[in-house]
Amino acid sequence: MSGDRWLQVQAVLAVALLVLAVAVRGCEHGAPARPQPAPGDLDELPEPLQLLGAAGAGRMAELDAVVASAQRAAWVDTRAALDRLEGCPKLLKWIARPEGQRLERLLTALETGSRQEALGALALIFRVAGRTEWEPGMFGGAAGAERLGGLLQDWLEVWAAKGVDDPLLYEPTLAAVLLYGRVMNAAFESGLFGDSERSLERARACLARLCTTPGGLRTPLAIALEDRYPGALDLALEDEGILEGLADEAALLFPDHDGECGE
Amino acid sequence: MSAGASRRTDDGAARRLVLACLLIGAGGLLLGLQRHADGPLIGTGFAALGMGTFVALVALLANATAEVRAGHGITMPRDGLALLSVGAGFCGSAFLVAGVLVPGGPWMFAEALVLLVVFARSSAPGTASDAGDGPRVGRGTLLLLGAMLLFRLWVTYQGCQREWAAVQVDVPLLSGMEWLPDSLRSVSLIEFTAAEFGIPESGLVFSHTMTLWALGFALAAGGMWLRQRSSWEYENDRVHATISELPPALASLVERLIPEEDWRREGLHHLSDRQRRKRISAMTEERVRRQLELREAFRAAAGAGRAGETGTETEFARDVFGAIERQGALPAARTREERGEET
Repeated sequence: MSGDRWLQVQAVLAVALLVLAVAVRGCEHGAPARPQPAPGDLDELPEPLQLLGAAGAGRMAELDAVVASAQRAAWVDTRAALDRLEGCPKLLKWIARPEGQRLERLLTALETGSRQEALGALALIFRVAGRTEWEPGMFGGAAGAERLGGLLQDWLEVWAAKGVDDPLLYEPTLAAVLLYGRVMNAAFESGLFGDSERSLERARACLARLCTTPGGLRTPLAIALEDRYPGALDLALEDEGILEGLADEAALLFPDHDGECGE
Repeated sequence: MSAGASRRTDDGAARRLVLACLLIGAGGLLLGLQRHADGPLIGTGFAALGMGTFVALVALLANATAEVRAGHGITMPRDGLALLSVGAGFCGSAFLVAGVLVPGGPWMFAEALVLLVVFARSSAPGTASDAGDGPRVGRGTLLLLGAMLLFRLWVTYQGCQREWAAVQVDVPLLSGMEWLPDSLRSVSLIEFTAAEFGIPESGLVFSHTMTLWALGFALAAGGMWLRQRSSWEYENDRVHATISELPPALASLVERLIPEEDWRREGLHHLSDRQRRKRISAMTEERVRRQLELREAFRAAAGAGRAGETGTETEFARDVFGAIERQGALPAARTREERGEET
């Protein structure tokens, strides 16, 4: 290319750059797209969020058909055992019983299964959260809340990333984060004479892992959470405020899951 | 750019001028972007750019006014490359100003007012550079812009940390009382909102955004500096090309009569070819006349010095006379024989 020609090309490039420098200022970030179910996608399990609420007990049987046959017997037994729970037992005591131990084994199996089985696992955790006492008392004792938080964390570690891209698990995944925030906030605020900083640190680390990339960007889960529940999660907050927004939203969405069986 | 212009002028200056425009464009591009916390690059908005354009326009007008007052009249770019240079200079000023202004709120107007004054002062009579070159950014202005960029980076960092004030000062004694509300325990100075500073609700990736802006500022400022130098050289090349149309001996004489450092001051930049030729002819005539007048003055001084006029007998007068004489500038004193021949 001759000198004059090359100079002209550079001049045109400079003009293009100047125009582009003005145009890019109008670039905006659109609202995140929520995964849309394909026709018939949710026919077998419509309104999956209902399964997580207190009224979801009546729909638990719908999940019998989607649980793999290897786990079906344990599934049916466990959900029946949870239905029979009376008197709001302490979570730590109940989970130490045979049916509690069976629940933990079943959760592990379901979480490695299909998306419907993952929903079943989450529904069981929410049933435990609604039917047992995990709220720390006046004199501390955050172990129950920590244990429940651990169950939710295990589920989230496996399904959070996939869940926000799945029409079936989208709302349940966000609900799981909200309940996790509420449970860990209760663990943090346990006791009359001080807060449990370790619970807060554990929760902060978990949420940071779930909601930010190593490069500091927000994950799809954090974006979906901000879109669906604006202001609920603020990862920039250093103090317990990081959990309070989640706890408030969870209290609105699941008033019975308060650690005292809604009493 | 016209083919004639590129034929006439030295390629080096033209290339540097285009490179400067590229740098300004690239700098403006980076200054217009920020990294959203969700990952994509988003724009910084048009509000600050609008303010930057206004400041650049005022600077351009102030410069043009100063040029008129200096007696040069309003000069215009005469070819495509000069036009691109002026456009890039205008855009570069707007980009630099927009890049350092906070993106909204009362602070943006306060900062814009300061920059307006600074740009207008830098274009005052006596400091004017060249209206035909577009707005210029001097060293002092650049320092001020750099300080303002630092302020913008600081408040953006604060915003990314969800601290909506530039400075928070703890109140002695009260700051330790955690049961008091925050508003009593500390005093916030220069408060702002996320919307005022164009920070999305979900935040920015500060490290990436800071890199973009700092790099953009450096490129745009560097481009402006290079453009100012290259534009001067480019116009000098055009003048030189016109003089070179003369026969070599005559061209050499004209360049001695009108040295290169006078070209800009004498208004030879940004003229059309016809105007430049006429101006060079007029200047040649004026300077030759001045030379002749000077020779006459030398002759008169020689006569006065040798005749011992009143005032030339002091040591100072003898020194000056001697200095002129030593340079051979005075006509030689005529010998008695020469005078006798005349009689």
